[in-house]
Amino acid sequence: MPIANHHSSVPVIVDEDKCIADKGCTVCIDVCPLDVLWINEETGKAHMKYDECWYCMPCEADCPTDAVTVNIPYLLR
Amino acid sequence: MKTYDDPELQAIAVKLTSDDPGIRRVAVMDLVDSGEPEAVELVIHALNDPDTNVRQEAAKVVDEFEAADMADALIAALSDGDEVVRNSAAHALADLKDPAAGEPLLEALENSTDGFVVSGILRALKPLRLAGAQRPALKRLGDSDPRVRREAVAVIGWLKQPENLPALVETAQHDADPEVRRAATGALVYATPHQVGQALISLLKDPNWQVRCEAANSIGKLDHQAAAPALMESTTDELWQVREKAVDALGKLGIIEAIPVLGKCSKDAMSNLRKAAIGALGAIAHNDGRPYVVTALDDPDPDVRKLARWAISKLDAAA
Repeated sequence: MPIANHHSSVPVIVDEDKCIADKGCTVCIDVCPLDVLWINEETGKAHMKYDECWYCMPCEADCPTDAVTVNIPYLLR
Repeated sequence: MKTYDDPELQAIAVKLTSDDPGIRRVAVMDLVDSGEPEAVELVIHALNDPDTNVRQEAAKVVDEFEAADMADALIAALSDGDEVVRNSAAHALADLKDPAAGEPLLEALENSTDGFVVSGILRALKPLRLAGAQRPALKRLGDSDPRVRREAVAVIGWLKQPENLPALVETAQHDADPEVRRAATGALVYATPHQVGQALISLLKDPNWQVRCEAANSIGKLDHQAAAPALMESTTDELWQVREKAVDALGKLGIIEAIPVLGKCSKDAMSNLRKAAIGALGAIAHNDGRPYVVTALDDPDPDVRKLARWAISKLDAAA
């Protein structure tokens, strides 16, 4: 799996103002079947660490604060 | 503070005492995964949290726990200052379907005046089908809040008691709120046609189209043969939704005299109605309907064509 070193255009975007991962929430990380979401050590918020996505959507659907957005590529829509 | 033997639950309990509402909220989310029966105490505690988000989260998880221990806390949450919490509590109570919640619900019903709370309690009482709910529900049919009347109708409908029919018919015909009339019209299906048939026929002329739809539906379910002329008249209703339900009901009743009007509907501009008409002609399975069905084999709508092929098979089988 390629590691995303800079967060330029990963499909899963987390709104850090809404994310409550720093309060102990790990919902999106737990539901991800590919284990590509991680907690950013600096901010305590969730982010996409590995640029690999099935666009299966539970991270977006289950986020208790609606902080996660999955951008599905045009050709998959 | 109380301590718990289970280390996970203990960790959650500690988080629930945090000053940060965000941490308390996440702790409530974690409660769901705890298999310990004592977790219920913590949910009840969270239902009384000063922070709205925490209470909302708690209200969301309540249906994961034992109903009997929770009913009181949920009923208390029905008077919460936050509408989202009240709503979740009412829904959770409705999902519980635990007979143990019956008595406290009836008691709360007696003591509640707020329309939102009363309708939540009634919705929770409905699936329990308690004989004790009959009297208060009949009383609430006269409530000034339409949401309350709507839920009272549902409670009475689920009780299926013949002695309640006059009150239901009265509500179906004369309630000021169309949604209440619609609910009452749908609830009448536990009667026999001779008890409510006349009322249902008159409801086919209700000013609200959803009530008219429901009346046609109920007539079909009751197999009220004498309503056939009124249903045939409804196939020319100004709204296709009503025409569709009337056509469905005529098919269910198997009215051979209705074939010409059904044929007319099978040429309607609205494809849903054409579909219903062909379905009804197939259900009646009388040869007089065959020309319309054959024409529909070339309908522009694939659903209609599919149903037409099914109808042809019914006609062939009946021949």
